[in-house]
Amino acid sequence: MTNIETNNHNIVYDVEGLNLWYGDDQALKNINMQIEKNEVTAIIGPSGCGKSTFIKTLNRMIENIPIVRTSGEIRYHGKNIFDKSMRVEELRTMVGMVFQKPNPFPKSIFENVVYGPRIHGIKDKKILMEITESSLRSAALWDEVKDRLHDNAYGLSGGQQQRLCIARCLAVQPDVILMDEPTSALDPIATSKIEELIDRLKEDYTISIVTHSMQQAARISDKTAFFLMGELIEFDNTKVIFSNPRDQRTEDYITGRFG
Amino acid sequence: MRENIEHQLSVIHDRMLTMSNLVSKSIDNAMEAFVKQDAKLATDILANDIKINRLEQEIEELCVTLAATQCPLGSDLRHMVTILKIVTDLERVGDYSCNIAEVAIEMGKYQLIKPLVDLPILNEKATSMLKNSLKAYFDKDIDLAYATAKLDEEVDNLYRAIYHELLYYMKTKSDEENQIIGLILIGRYIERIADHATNICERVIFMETGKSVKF
Repeated sequence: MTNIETNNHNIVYDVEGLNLWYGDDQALKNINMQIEKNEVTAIIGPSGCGKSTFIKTLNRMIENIPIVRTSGEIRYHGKNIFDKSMRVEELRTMVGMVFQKPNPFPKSIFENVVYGPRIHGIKDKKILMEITESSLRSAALWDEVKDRLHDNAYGLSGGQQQRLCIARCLAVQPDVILMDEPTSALDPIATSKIEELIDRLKEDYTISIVTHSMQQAARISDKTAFFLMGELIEFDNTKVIFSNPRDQRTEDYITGRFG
Repeated sequence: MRENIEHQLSVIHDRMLTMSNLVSKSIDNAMEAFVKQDAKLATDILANDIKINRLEQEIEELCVTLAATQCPLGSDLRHMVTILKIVTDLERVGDYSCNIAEVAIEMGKYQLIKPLVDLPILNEKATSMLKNSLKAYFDKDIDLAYATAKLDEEVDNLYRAIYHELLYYMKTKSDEENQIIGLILIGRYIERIADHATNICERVIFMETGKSVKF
């Protein structure tokens, strides 16, 4: 199933025997995989295969759905995230998320970026401004918005809004960024900007991205996991998955024989 | 959802068949022209090569369209890459047939210094390798690819023996040097055809297994 040799020092997430149920329906079945630091891990698979469920489990976002049950372990830097001592707010600060549709708050660009830092108690305007600039620069948006930081975020284009959401996520200095189809609502130019951004961000962050576009997974990820009906079918270096997968089901999916 | 890619691949497959047949015919005719010292047949080969070159171009363009419109992955990707490599090999074999034909036209002027024995054997081995390498491609038969590639050593050994024999004649029959050089060249071209057949076998193994092998 997985053919990757990992360096233990670099493991950010170590998922072991993860099962997840929505009520009686099992959505994830015995998932075992490791996510390494400063890598982009793409999650692919047909609709309903459990890929979004999987990444939403990595920061326990999935628990917002009341009927969810899990078993198994997800160790984040060695610590089981389901452990009672794990504080969910802290986990979600370290593990940010960007969604399919850009979801800025109906506030100014500046207020969007500093929303998280403010919640964490930062009040100093100078510091908030510094955070805004560095986050927007990291999200490759600064030059486009520096002269209108107090304009409403809704005035930005879809691609800019998505980069703003990434900047908002970066503002609380996360360790991991989870992305759930972050470009599926964007045009090719905005998509390519986000992809370039992901490539730059992986120098400082660990990224896991769910995508329906196999070309996107091939372009931007180091490793790719193929999910099917709640199972992790194959997890390997991206070039192997897309040129010579070991499992026939992966081959059938990437060549469009089903899905 | 695979209809488009299947259709495009089947169009390319047809062109590959045509190109393979033309190249095989070309090398057969080139040797026949040489053995029978038939200048007319040799001239036909040169005309045939234009068709081969055109097919190579056409198949390359079809592959570029396939890549641009279907973004092939997995076995489709390996298949497309294999086709692009094989057409280059086939085109080179077509060129060698022309080279043999050109020498054959020149040789038509001479009384051969000795009856042709080894060169036709060399040719038979090389062309059979070529045909089997193509069969391995069309049948996706890795066993045949491995078995065929193995024969290259025999061709190399035989070519070396022919070469040394001809070098000996060069010393003893120096007034026939034009003819002897022609015979050495033909041997060399045939030996190169076997190399290209070996390349095709390597590509077939890559296509089917994803492994890059070098014989």
